[in-house]
Amino acid sequence: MSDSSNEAAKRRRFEAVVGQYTQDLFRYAFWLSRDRAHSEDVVQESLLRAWKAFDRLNDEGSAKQWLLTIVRRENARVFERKRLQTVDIDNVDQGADESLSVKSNTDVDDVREALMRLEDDYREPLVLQVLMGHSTDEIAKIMAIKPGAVLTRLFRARKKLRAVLESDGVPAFVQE
Amino acid sequence: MLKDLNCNECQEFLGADPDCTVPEVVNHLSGCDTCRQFQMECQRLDSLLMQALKVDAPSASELMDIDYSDTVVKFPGSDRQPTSNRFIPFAMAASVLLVLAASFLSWQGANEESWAKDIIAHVEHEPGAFAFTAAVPKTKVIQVAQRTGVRVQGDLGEVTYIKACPFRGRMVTHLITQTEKGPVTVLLLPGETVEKPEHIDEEGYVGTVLPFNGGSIVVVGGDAESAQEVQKRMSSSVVWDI
Repeated sequence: MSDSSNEAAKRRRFEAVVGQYTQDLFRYAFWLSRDRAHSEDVVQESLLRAWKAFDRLNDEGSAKQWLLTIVRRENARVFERKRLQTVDIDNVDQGADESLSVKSNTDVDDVREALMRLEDDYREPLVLQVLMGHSTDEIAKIMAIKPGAVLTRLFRARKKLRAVLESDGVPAFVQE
Repeated sequence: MLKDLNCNECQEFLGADPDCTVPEVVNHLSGCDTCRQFQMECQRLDSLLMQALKVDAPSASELMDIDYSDTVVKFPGSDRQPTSNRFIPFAMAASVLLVLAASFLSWQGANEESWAKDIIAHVEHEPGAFAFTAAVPKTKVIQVAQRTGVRVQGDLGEVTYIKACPFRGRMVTHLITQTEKGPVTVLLLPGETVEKPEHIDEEGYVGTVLPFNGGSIVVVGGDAESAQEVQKRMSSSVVWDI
């Protein structure tokens, strides 16, 4: 087989393996940074890195975890390079960001706002568990922390969210 | 024999995972209304969480639109590593200089060729860009450019496509602007220097690379007149912001 047909076959395999995860990778990057444009950059640069390292992915079954790890590192790298300013939640105009304003109802908006306010250390394992469906052990590997720490952060994250939603008077969480 | 959990312990498990199936938790739930109620509340929160986390994402094809031909080769003059070492013996330096002098012209030619090929490969990689005919809002043009270190401070004309793309290891602005004689592709490359205007003629594409304030502006397509008009428009409307 020629070099160009090898390359084309590799590219088809890459697109088949990676393509199914790209939108979730974007959402993961978005919840890490809370910045849509930054997330697009991070995902595209991550995919470029993944493409260059694709030959080293031995088990396609672990592709999602591999990609999330790349996105996580790339987010830190781009964040450092751009010295992205911390998002001040009081200045976040949710109505102006199309990613936050569509397909929402009041309760979802309230939860989203509470998530924006949650500390990064608590938000990330929640995203990996609820959105990505990862187990505690998988989250521990991606975040490079112990499984016990993951469980603690998940418990505290939900506790904090419930407290915020209760104190904000969100109907679904106000105790009768 | 299962360990008996109290309500606090049970709720810690459920708070970490509302669908927890640890036998001790399941056992406790079978006889505790309070913890069952707690579990339901956590599951309701998770249902809302799932919806809240699922923000709209660009399509998979948009996100996968990366430059597969991207290489680590750097543009001449950019990010070059310092090579001087004042302790290198002069004789060695002299021989290196001789080799460099002998190979300089062929190196330069090859690099320019690679540069032109990269530009055209990038343009070819996004053929769908020409399908857009509606003008992109100016706010979006400004935002995308800003992400790549380009500040738009004038009128770029009618832009029908704009994207921040990876190109030779950097994110750059790739846009299409309309002229009287049709669409013209522009790449805005702050930090990518050329010493003098370069002509591109590759794979049926014709274009120019114009040095501009320590960076360069690439224009591909259109005739000489429209290309010149676009270059003028770009150079009077953008500043590098890196």
